[in-house]
Amino acid sequence: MTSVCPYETIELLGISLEVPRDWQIVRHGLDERKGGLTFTDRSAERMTFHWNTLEREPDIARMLQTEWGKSKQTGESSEFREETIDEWRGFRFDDARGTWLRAVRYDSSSRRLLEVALALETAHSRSRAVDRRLLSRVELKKSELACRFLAFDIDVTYPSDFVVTKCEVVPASVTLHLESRAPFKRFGAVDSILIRRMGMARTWYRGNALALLARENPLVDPRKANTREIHGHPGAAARTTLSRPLQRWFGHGRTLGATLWHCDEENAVYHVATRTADGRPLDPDAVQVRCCKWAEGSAPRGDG
Amino acid sequence: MADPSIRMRFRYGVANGQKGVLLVATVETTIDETGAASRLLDLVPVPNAAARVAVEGEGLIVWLPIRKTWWMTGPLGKVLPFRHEKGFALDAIGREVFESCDGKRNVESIVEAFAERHRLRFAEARASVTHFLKTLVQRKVVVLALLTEETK
Repeated sequence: MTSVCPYETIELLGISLEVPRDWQIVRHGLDERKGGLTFTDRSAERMTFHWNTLEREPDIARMLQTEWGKSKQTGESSEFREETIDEWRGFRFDDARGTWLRAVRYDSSSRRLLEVALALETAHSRSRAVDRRLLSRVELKKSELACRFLAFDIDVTYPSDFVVTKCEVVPASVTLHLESRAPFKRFGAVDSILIRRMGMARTWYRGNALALLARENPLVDPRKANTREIHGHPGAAARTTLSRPLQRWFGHGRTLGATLWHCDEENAVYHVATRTADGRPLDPDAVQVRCCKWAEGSAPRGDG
Repeated sequence: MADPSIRMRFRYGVANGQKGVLLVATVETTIDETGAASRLLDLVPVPNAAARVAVEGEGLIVWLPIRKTWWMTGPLGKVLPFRHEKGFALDAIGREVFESCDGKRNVESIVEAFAERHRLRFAEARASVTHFLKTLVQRKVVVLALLTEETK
């Protein structure tokens, strides 16, 4: 029998962390320089995670004292006791919501200051206590190596010259937009990638991948689409070059590529659409979207 | 202190023969306000006892009697063909959620079952199911009951 792992990995913008499976991200930022993530479980907020790019290491001891002063005003704790978890420095305090750990860490390689407020225990009966060692599982990568997005059930590795610009999350549907860092300035167009994961497929998908591909990509010529097996799943793919004759002559047409497949194990349909501005097609292997996490994990996601 | 994110109006005292059940006529909540959502998970959806259910393909049509006003019951009501029921059509997923509202399971267990069946995360399933339940409550197809120890 496979053991059920209560944790899952979240990775975005070069930040990798492991959190309990029943936590969800309710707020997220996509700016590499400054942003944050907020996690909740079924009942309460459990963790806020902020990053900020700083050229020099700040005075962390002073920061902690300042934070302690703020916490003391609202909380019930009376004694400051610094805690150290690997490279993290922080303190613990209690308030009406439960027991919290505030911690700070500066990563000199990525020049990012990380700040975390972690609810170790909450007053809600549905919430489970977590170990403070959760912080020791946080890893950072330099921005040029940050080319993996693993969150909201999407696991994708993208080219290093692309950046995540938008992530739309609604129940049973996640859409990720990526754009090239170097825009094609002549026409103001940029290379872009769209990745969409559509859940609850058995309720709406009837197995016609070509029709769905054409519906999702109205600019792609359906006559050039063909069915094929993608990642071991039935799917369809198409590629079209949109250009006027003069653009085509100079090789400046836009090339659209689209791939779509149905992952039965995840009960989801994946759709990947690429658009290049200068006529050359994007290397299909440059974007790797992994599915079948359900089969690998063997645990109902979100229920730890 | 009343939670501002959940507004409850207690209207009736009996549903499906369960005495003392408090019926919630309106529930307003958002998934981001997890404290409110947590309380919502404890509520038990109870179908309207007066509802008549007709199977239609993969879905259902739930017929509810229309309460007649005084002028509909008078001579005018004998002359004009006022309808006695109004129907709500549910698709296959709506039927699945409606049928899981058996007056015993709370919202949390319904959401868990829904998430398991459709391979969704709990939070995704909660958003979908609670939104749908809110629609059913507004249309008086189900009521959300807060079962106490006495009424369980």
